[in-house]
Amino acid sequence: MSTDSPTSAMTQLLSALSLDGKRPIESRQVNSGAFEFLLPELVNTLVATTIETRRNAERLALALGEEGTADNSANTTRVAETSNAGWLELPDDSELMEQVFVKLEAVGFRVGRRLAERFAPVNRRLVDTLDIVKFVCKDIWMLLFNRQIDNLKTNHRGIYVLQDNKFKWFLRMSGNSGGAAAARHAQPYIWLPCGIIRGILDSFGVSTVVVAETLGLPQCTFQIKVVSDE
Amino acid sequence: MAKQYKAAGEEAWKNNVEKVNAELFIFTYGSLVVQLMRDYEDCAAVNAQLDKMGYNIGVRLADDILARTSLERCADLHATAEAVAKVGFKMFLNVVPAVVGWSADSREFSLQLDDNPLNDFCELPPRAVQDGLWYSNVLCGVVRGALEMLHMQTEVWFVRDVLRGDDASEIRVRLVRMLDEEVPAGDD
Repeated sequence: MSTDSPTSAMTQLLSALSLDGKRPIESRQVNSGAFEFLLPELVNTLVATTIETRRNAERLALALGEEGTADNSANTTRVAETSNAGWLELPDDSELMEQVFVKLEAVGFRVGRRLAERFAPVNRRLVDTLDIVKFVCKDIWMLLFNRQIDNLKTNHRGIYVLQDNKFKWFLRMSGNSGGAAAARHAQPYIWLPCGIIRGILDSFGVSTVVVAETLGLPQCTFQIKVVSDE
Repeated sequence: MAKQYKAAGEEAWKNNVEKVNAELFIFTYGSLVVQLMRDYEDCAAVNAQLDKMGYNIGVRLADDILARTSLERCADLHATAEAVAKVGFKMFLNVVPAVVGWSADSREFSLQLDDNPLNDFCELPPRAVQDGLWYSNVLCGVVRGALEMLHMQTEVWFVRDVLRGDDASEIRVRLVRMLDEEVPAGDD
């Protein structure tokens, strides 16, 4: 970002260093739509690549004379298509989708680590895991979604439950399908933030398992479970 | 004409766009590229996936832009190029590439990106990029998809990239042909 004069550069630097403790490099801005358009296509791409790698593995197995796994995947699975409501119509193949979710979570994990590096507060230390989780609930959620987590619960023994009643990525989708169908549609969108949360905690040296569920759109609940070193 | 688009783009960015910190977008994209590099190992395959992904995004983006601005149908490729640079890129990434390098027959031009947000925190080793990866190849697909919505079939490709050590990043656009008014069948 170019600045017109040394004074304006200094002003920017000073304001960025003020009270909120952010890094002294001002964040640039983009259209919120940039990410919102990227997300479904990202899922789509991961589905396509997973199908392709699986197909290649099957071909290789056949070529090597091993028993191929069942069928003609070209016919039974299809790449995720986007319906008019904005939801992805995902292939009805739970094994495939599980592989996709693992990748989505991995993508989120890397994002989380980088967000932590970039936005960890400089003027206060995060003392314990609860501090870090609060950082996620307030600062990170604010950065990502322009609001904070609605409700945080903990049993003070390594389990944290974060509730977002209006999860932003669900809001864009029209909600005329309820119950199980909606939950299934929401699945891919849940794994990325799970990874993000896990990545942030990992950055501070805390190993966790993070899962999420939705009991009804646009609500979303994340559960963090600290994995203790044995 | 270019001034009109500049004004339209700035107006749209200022008043008609929800702005957020770029990090989520930039980190997520970078993280996806890392994942694809692991899945494919072959840079050409990754480039292709990024382009295809960009195409799907571009198709939707064009709709969004047309809905938010009062842009009229572009008269020719010159106008279209200005619209893509000054309105499209501005509205989404808040950067404006320069439109340069017109071919003699006016069917080709370049978008020169002096500032590419995706490069901000690029986490790939230089080796990967030098091996043939076009890190921001999604942008080529986006331009191609958006132009198809404007009834133009194009080829769009990266010519230079600062991540490769070039002095600038440059995307080349070539008009293949005008399309009929029918909705295109879409990419395979």
